Amino acid sequence: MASAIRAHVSAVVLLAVPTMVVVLLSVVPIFFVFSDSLGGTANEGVGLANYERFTTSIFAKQTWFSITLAALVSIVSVGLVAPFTYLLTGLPKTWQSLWLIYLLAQISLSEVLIAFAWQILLSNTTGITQVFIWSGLMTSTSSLTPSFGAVVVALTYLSVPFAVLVLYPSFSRLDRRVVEAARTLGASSVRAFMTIVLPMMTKPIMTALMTLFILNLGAIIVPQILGRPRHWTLAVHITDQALFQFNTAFASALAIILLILSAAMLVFLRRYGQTASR
Amino acid sequence: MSRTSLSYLFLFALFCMGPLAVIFAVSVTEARALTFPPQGFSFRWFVEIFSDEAWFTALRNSVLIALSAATLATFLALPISYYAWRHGLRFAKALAALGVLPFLLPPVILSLGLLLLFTSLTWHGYFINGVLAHTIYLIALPIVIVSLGLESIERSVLEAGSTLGADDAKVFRTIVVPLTVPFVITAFAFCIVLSLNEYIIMLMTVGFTYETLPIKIFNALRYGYSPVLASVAVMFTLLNIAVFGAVAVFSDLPKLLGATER
Repeated sequence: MASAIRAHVSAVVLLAVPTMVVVLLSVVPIFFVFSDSLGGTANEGVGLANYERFTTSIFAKQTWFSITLAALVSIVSVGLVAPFTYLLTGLPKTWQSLWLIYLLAQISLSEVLIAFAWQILLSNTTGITQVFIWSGLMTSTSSLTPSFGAVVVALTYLSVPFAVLVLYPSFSRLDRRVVEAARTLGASSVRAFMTIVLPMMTKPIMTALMTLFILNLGAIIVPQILGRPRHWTLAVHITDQALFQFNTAFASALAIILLILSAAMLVFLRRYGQTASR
Repeated sequence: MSRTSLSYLFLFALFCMGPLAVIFAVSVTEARALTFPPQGFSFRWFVEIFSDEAWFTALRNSVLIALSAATLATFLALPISYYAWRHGLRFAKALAALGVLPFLLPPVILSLGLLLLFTSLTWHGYFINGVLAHTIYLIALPIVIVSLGLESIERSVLEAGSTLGADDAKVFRTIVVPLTVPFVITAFAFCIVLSLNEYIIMLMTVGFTYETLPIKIFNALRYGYSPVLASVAVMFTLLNIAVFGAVAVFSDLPKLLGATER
């Protein structure tokens, strides 16, 4: 009995600080964003003015752009990654470890550096354009950035390792004997993948799509460096409004809209996606 | 493995590693201007990261923030994961869920909230802003990774310890701690790497007054090309590979990332 009470007391003491820190740094800031979004720049008092401004300006259009961009990048990335993850989980364990080390290194590499790498790769003096000219696909040097294509390619590059990590646990549990059976019966490897593996992996694939969608909804650096202003996402406009237009109230309203969009996706993910795979 | 499979793996590797290979080539070019194919060979741009005052300050700032935030995040997460696992406290589980949330949502939302919070406290561009912001963003990693480690401990081992007369403190010291330490170190390493590479949270909560490496890189990009950028990119890539390589040596990486033994 005494030890139970002691355990209880130590739980309260040891959890007090983490609780304070987590609440103070996550709940309180979101409350600030919410209350600021209802305020105005002048003495307008509390109201929905910022949200009205949102619906009647280019920002609604840019929000729609963010959504389509995130959807497009998620689909392209998962499409590229699903066959790869299937092949990866069939490799010997050492090779799997090496790939995972590399993918974790790529995932953690600063978005700024990845945008820089693609800027160099797509510039007119180096990289891909030179290859295109050499192979006759292009006739004169011209830079491929800034452009929508550059934004999509770089975001795909950022998303690919995330998609592998989401798909990896399920694919490693896949019963490969089923695929072997199909192969023995004469299906090509592509056909076996399309008709056996993909249908079995629908749920993890949906989970990956939704996870990448949320990730790309928050894309900031790539659209800014590799895109034109019309390729700016909602997240770019939030930082722009807060830091450079000094309109934190409007930035807050935009942040609440982004929060609602991503939270809705998270709820969807918990409902229909794969719950923790362990 | 069929030829289709091999070519697919090769193309995928090319897409992932190609851009980094170009950066590697550019980083050891002698010329200041961007040329391709690279001309000459030199490590001078790597030396410049450490010899140039501005680059070195940014590097030092990044390291200080990463070390402080990773330490704070790890120590704050430990009691949360432990009580959620050992005593199944509902409160600790809820706290863990709340702690993971900032990592799942677009970071710009919470950064804006933290900016408003710090502004209301009149904390403008302080070092501590960056540390606290990264702590709350990264705390998800130790919560998840340490919980994974705790769950891998067999309950029967704990019961055996208790039956043989060990009290809670002794069970904790002799069973729980040794079995979870590798996971704690892994979580710490993940936090360090992510913090060093993070840009947008730093920009929003600290701004340009306390310049970290990613912020310095972004600013340098606006003024045009500099070969130092390439050498920084190479240094970071190698650092990330070294850290995760070490994690793979000391723990089972495929298992940590969710693969099952076959």
